[in-house]
Formats: sequence, structure tokens, C-alpha cells
Amino acid sequence: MRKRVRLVVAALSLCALGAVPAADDKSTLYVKARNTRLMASSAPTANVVAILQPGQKVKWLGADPKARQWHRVEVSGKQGLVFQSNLSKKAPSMELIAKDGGKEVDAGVFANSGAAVKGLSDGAIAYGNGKKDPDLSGAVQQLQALEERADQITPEELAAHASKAQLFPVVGPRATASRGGK
Amino acid sequence: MSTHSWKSFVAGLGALALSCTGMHLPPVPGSAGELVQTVNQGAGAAGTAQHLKQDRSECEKLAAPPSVEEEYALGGAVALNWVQRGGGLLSLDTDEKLVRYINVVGKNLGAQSQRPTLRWTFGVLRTTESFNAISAPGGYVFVTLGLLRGVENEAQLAGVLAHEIAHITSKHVLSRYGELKVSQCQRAAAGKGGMRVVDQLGFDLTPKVVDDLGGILKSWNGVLDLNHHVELLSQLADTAVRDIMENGLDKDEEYAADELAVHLLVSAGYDPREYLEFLAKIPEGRNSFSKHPRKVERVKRLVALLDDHKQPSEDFPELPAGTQGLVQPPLPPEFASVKGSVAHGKP
Repeated sequence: MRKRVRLVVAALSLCALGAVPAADDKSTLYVKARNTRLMASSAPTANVVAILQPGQKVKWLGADPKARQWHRVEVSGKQGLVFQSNLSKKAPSMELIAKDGGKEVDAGVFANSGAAVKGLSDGAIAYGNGKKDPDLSGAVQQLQALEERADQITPEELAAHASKAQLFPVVGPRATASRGGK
Repeated sequence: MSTHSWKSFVAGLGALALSCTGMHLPPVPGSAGELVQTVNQGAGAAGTAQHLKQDRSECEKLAAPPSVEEEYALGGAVALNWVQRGGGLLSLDTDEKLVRYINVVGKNLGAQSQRPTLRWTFGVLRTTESFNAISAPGGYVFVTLGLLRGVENEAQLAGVLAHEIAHITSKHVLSRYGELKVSQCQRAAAGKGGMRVVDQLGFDLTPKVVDDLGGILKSWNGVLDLNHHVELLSQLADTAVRDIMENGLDKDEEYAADELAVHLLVSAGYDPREYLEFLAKIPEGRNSFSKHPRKVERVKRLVALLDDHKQPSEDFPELPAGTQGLVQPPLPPEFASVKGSVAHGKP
């Protein structure tokens, strides 16, 4: 039987946005999007210095005077540029998980592990099927099928869509750094 | 689907146009002493009344923010209701590309939201009779076919999805759900000893639910595992859904979701003015909630928000000044099945 990954707590923030801790000073920002790229420059072909994950703290050094939507930051001794949309003054809420042994998974690892739970919860399935209503039982099957398809969508696909639609390059295609900003 | 549930849903969606969900709970009968007074009339009144007060006070523990697992359980049950009442989901066999496209657009927004690691799922409800979007805790967002027909470009679609995402990240429904749990628990505590117990909307709480609530309080460890209390989940979800259908969210929560939606749109690179344009198209005549804000007021507030961010900031700006680089991508060919022809975005 597959070892069940168990959700334990929403950590960095437990409730509404209002409860999210703000950055402790004006120079502290938080990474908010998956696979955020720390770039050597704002050029589309620049090298990726590092890949950052939601919740990581960075030191804000100011907007790039040549491209105001890019911001110079320092993280773990490395400096580079991050696109504005990837940063926030507020820490994101993270759905931390723990293995059955109780050891919490690092936010960065978690961010790359995909969804915290797989599929409709056991309770919701029992609820839907227990009503003896064919429409509600049908809804269980339809929602499970939808979730399965939705889970197949990868960060690479999100990044490819953003590129095609000329959106901002916020969600990075992969979790490891590579050359050329891709 | 029964005729009754269909009509209820259509009416509910019409009223809830782009409002997602909400719960407004009346006070617990007897909370100001009425119940204790009733019990006091019996034998051993003083001791029983004190016990009830303690139980009712203990119920406040349930107001604590739910675990993510509890949120998924509740959200899944609520989402099933939306699917059922919305005439089912659009078929993956015939419209797989459209559903996938909506999930790509939605997940891209969700990944940039305040809850980037939530399990985001976006579905299309088959009903064409309502013009609406609705969500459930745990990352479930639905749009109706009727609404999709009114979408002119991807920025407008993204605006609708972002509004629902904002309700989820802000946990608007979950905060009401906390009130609901406390209220149900207090009613159950008041009902000990064979008294009939009803929920906020006048429906009976079963003895099993009353027992479950009592047992949970006795061994309270901060976690409510609804997956192992399915009857309680059923009771809570049903009450929540009924209340959502009859009430709605507060105006302030709708305004907050609009504001967050604009932030999310700009973050992703969409022109937020398209969302304002879409809001203006919402059929307001169906809105029967006194608390639901009028679209004119919603648009006015968002215009003011965008104006505020036109000036460059010395600090790190959460919204960039101006609309440089913001786009209104055209809808893809997959939308042809919705609109009868492929819609085109603006240049």
C-alpha cells in the first residue's frame, strides 16, 4: 500500500491574508512563485544564477535602472535579478507536509513535489457516494477525472503558455538552474 | 439531477454572480441565556447549566484555523455540490483541450498567488443558464458555460479565475466555516439529554453528529479529521452549501477579492482593465443579495486602485506603475465549442 503523505499544517500563515507576516524591514522580500529564476541580468538569454522557491527570503537591493520590472536581490550570498512578479513583501502561505514519521518536508522540496494530496479526499468521496444520489455519485467520478487531468499539467507547460501568450515569465519551467534563462 | 436542485442552483448562481461563496450565521438560540434558563427549570438545574456553559465554551476551540487536510475534505464535499448543481462538468472526452486550457490559465495564476502550493483544480460547469463562477476551499474553481460565452479574451477569463482564487487564498469561506463549527458544537452541547438539536437553518443534527462533536471535544488535539467523521462532514458541508446558496459573501470580501484579482492579473502580465470591462457585463438584475456589492461600485474601486499605483514608488512596489507589457491574449481555438466561433483578443 502506498505510503500516505499526510498534511499537517498550513505553516507560514495559518489563516487569512491579514494574518500573513509582512516583511520585517523594507529590504526583505519573499519569493512567491515556483521555480523563480535568479538571473545574471534582465536579458532573455542571461544565465540563471539560481532557482528559488516560494517562501524564500531575499534581500532587496533596488530596481534595475535599465529595466524597472527587474529587481536586484541577494540570497544566500548570491546576487542577481528577479522579475518583479516573483517577489512580494508578504510571505506566501505554504501547505507544509510531513511524512508519517512526523518530519516536515522543506518548503523548497515541497514546491517541486507537486500537489500536497492526490485526488478528492476519502471523506469527500464517502460523502458524495453516501447520499445515494446518482448525480452526486456522478459528480465524484467527474471531479476525480478532472483532478487527474489537472495534475498532469507541469510547470513547463505553464511557462510555455506564458511565453506563447506573451505573459510575464513568472513560473519557471524547472527546478534546477540552466543556461540561457530557460 | 432533480428539477429542484437544478432550479436552486441556477437561482443561486445568478445571485452569486462572481461572488463565490459565503456564510452568514445567525446567533445560536439560547446563547444569551435562553437555553440555560430552560434547563434550569429541571432537576439539578444549577449543575447542568454550569456543565453546558463549560461545553459551550469548549466549543470555541473549533474556531482554530483548520488544517489543510480538513480544508480539502470540506472543500471537496462543497465542490461536489457545485458540480452536481451545475449540471455536471464539461466532458473530458469531447472538450479535453478546453478544460486543459482553463487549467493552464488558472494554475499559472494559482502558482503566483498567496497559496502557490495549493492543489488548484479548475472545471467548467455545463449549465448555460447562469453567468457565474464559484469556488470551494482546497483550490476548487468552477466557471459556467454561460459565463464562458461572455468572455472575450484570456485576460477576462483570467480575471474571473483570479477573483475566485482570491476568495480561496483569503480563506473567506473557511473563516465562516470556523463560526459554523463552533455554532454547531454549541447547539450539540445544548442538546445533550435528549433535546432536539437543529442547525442554523433549522435542519436536525443527527445523534451521531452530536456524539461525534462531543467525542472530538473530549480528545481535542487541534486537528479535526473529517475523513473519519463522514456524517459530521456531511452535516457541515450541507449546512455550508445551503447557507452559501441563500446568503453570499460580505461586500468587503467581494471588494477584497476584486483587489487581489487585479494584483494577480498584473503579476501574471494580464491587462487588468479587461477584468473591469468584464465586470461591467455581469447581469446585475439577478442579484438578490442585499450584501452583494453592485458592479458599478466594484469597478469604481478598482479604477481607484489602479490610479493609486500610477506613481512610481521608492520602496518595492507590489504593483508596477503603468501598464507596460500587460496583454490581452486572444482565446484559443478550443473556445470555438463554447462560443460557436473562435473569439479574438484585442491587438
